[in-house]
Amino acid sequence: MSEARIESLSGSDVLELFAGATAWLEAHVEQVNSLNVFPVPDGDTGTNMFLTMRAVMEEAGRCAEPGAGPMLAAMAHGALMGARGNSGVILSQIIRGMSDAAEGAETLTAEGFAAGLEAGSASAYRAVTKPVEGTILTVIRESSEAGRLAAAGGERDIAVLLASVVSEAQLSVNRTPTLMPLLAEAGVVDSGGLGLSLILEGMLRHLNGQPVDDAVSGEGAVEQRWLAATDAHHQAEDSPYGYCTELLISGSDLNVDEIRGRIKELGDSVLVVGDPQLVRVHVHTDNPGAALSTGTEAGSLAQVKVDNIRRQAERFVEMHEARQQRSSPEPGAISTVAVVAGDGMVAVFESVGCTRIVSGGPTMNPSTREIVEAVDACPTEDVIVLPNDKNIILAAQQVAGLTKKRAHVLESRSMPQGIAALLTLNYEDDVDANVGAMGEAMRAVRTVEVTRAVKSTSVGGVRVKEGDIIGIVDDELTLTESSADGAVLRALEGIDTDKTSLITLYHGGETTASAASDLAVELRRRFPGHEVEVVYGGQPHYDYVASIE
Amino acid sequence: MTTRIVTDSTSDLSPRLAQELGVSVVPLSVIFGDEVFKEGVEISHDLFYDRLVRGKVHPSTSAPSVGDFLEVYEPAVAAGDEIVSIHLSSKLSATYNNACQAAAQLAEQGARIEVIDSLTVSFGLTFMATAAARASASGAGAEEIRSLVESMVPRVRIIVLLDTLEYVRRGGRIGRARAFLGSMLRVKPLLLIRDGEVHPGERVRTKALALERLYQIVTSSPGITELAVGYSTAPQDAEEMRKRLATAYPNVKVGVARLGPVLGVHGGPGTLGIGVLEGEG
Repeated sequence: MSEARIESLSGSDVLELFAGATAWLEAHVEQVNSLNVFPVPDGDTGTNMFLTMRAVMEEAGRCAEPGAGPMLAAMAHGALMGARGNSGVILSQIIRGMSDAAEGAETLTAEGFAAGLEAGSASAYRAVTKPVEGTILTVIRESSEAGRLAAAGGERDIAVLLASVVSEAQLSVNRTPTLMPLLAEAGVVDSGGLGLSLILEGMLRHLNGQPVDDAVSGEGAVEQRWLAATDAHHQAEDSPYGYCTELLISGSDLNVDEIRGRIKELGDSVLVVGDPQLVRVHVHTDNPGAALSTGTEAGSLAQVKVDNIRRQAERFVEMHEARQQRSSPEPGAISTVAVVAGDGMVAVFESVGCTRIVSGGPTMNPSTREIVEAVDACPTEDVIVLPNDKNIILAAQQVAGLTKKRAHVLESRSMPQGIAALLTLNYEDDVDANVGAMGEAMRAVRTVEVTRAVKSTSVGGVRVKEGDIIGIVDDELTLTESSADGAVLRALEGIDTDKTSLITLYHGGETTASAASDLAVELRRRFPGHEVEVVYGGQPHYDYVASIE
Repeated sequence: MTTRIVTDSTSDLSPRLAQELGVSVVPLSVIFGDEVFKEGVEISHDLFYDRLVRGKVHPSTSAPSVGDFLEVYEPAVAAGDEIVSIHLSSKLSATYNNACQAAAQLAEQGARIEVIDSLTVSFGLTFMATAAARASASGAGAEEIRSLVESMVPRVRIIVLLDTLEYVRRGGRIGRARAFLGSMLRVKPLLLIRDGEVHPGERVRTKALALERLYQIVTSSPGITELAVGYSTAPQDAEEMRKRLATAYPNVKVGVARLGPVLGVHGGPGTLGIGVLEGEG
């Protein structure tokens, strides 16, 4: 394939192209993850982007049509469903742009490829309310511009065009620290930008017939081992020294042992490796200046990075403690997995003992794979799955056939139903008894959701205009109102409250706590004999989710 | 020679009933700061709960000492009696252990003292101490009474409804129910005392629903032969539950008792508990 000109790609060619990209990204996931500005064990960009690509490939594998356009459409759909993290979302927008540009096309040409990247760049910028330069956005913009120029210059060979795109992407990634002071301060390039660059590079390597699954060789390996070695030092509890100092010394006749000896006098966590031409130094010291002097005396400094580790350690400890507090111990032989949207809702689910949470909900449906992974990560054989949305039940039900564990899917249709089910879980009973009792508890909960119509339509006799506040009772659109409060009140008043005693009001990210407590006062007045509890749900798009049971 | 029955104050046996049955009750202590009170003897239930709710110092509890047991055992042994001593779960308190040590000391002098780990508390102990006292009154020996009481151990269930998790959290004696802590929602947890330990049951969102669930759980027990309702500070809830249960089980005796300070420390105000003795087989 590397000898012939490549002027057009069919659907299956596009599939292979993306497979190469995914494999190459996977081989570098740890490298991308290691670029986090803060030394905390979350927000792993490499993992997020790789999982997004994996969702792309899953969807692509299901595409039965031969054309490049339909293939990209399937991929865009997969990306949309599987996107995780900011970089994943932006990546999904790039793929969506490529798909839009290739709509209905049988094959993808060099020109089409360039146009797709440009559309992807535009789509990515649109997806972000405040675009920031020095990120993946800059990298897609600059590299797609290189593609456009190559196409405008008459380049028909996709591999050649892609080579200029990749080359510009790599340069663009290297420039990110000049645009983003935080990156320069941390001495890293932007992780999302690097992820995108690797994706493009993986495509190019595939077209050129180079291996894409083999990062553990050459430079990459040295880089990874170095990162792993320094990481190990940073994971260690506390260092008595204040600064993590890293140097890259170049020269012609460097004495590694001598440099190591001098660095060792300055502190601990010392790593000095290299050869007579290039030596890497890592040390935790209170005197970074002395380390720099050691470097300049031995040769010339190619790179310098000095971090205040005490501050890093403090942040790490803060984050770690926050996590510790959130995770509940898991007794018994039954685990639970729930699909949850909203930071407050996640906290509620965690606080009532949910083992694994898959983030997602009405506006972001997780893939089956995500749920499978959550189930697989549970410590017990029996896992009860709470999809908490009618559009996720089907995906959750696929889990049973895809995991070695025993997955029991309860058809919970809202987060309040899921919460009621979790509270009923009795670790002393067996799983069948629990599934029965939890299902019963869940079905006794009625759910009211209040949001805004995204289009004008008529549903079940209720006419709504785009932007109207609408009330949904147990998945049925039942009313429109001029205020969110009014919608909650009217929706609840339409429910038989003879046997109910509790109203829980979860307010969304856009609704203030004081607005919610005002509404609670009115609820208590109108529903005597009911306890009313107000909880921050933080759910996206829904002003209120209320339950009555 | 007779067989004397001894239990401890967590049995919630009223002094009157204890006297009627001839059961000796060894008190545990509740400690506020540097003040130590033997429960039921040196502090009244009302005063205790008042201090628990209003006081700044959260009380702790302590088991009777070996000496406390010797004081009760020695006169009986001197009179040539045998003793069956039945105590709260060894997994929750050192009481059983201390009783065993006292018994071992006296055994060296030839005394016969059977110490039994009830693996339960409160009504569970009441059921056992009462049955033991009746058997003793009809002439049963220590050996026979021991096997009678041991046959009851697996048939006792205690279901407890807490109004708040606060006290059990402070007390720390929560066992596997630890998973219940930290809920962002107000919940009324149902706990089960079984196999000597506190186990987490369901969590219910409102008191009305919780009382309903409590009733349902109790009435789902097979072959109930005895029932008891205990409360810490809400006698009206206990009385309503007693009436409901008495209606559902006209042939079963349903007792009501107030939970003593040592249990109150851990359950807190608003605690409602039900003890169930299931039939044999």
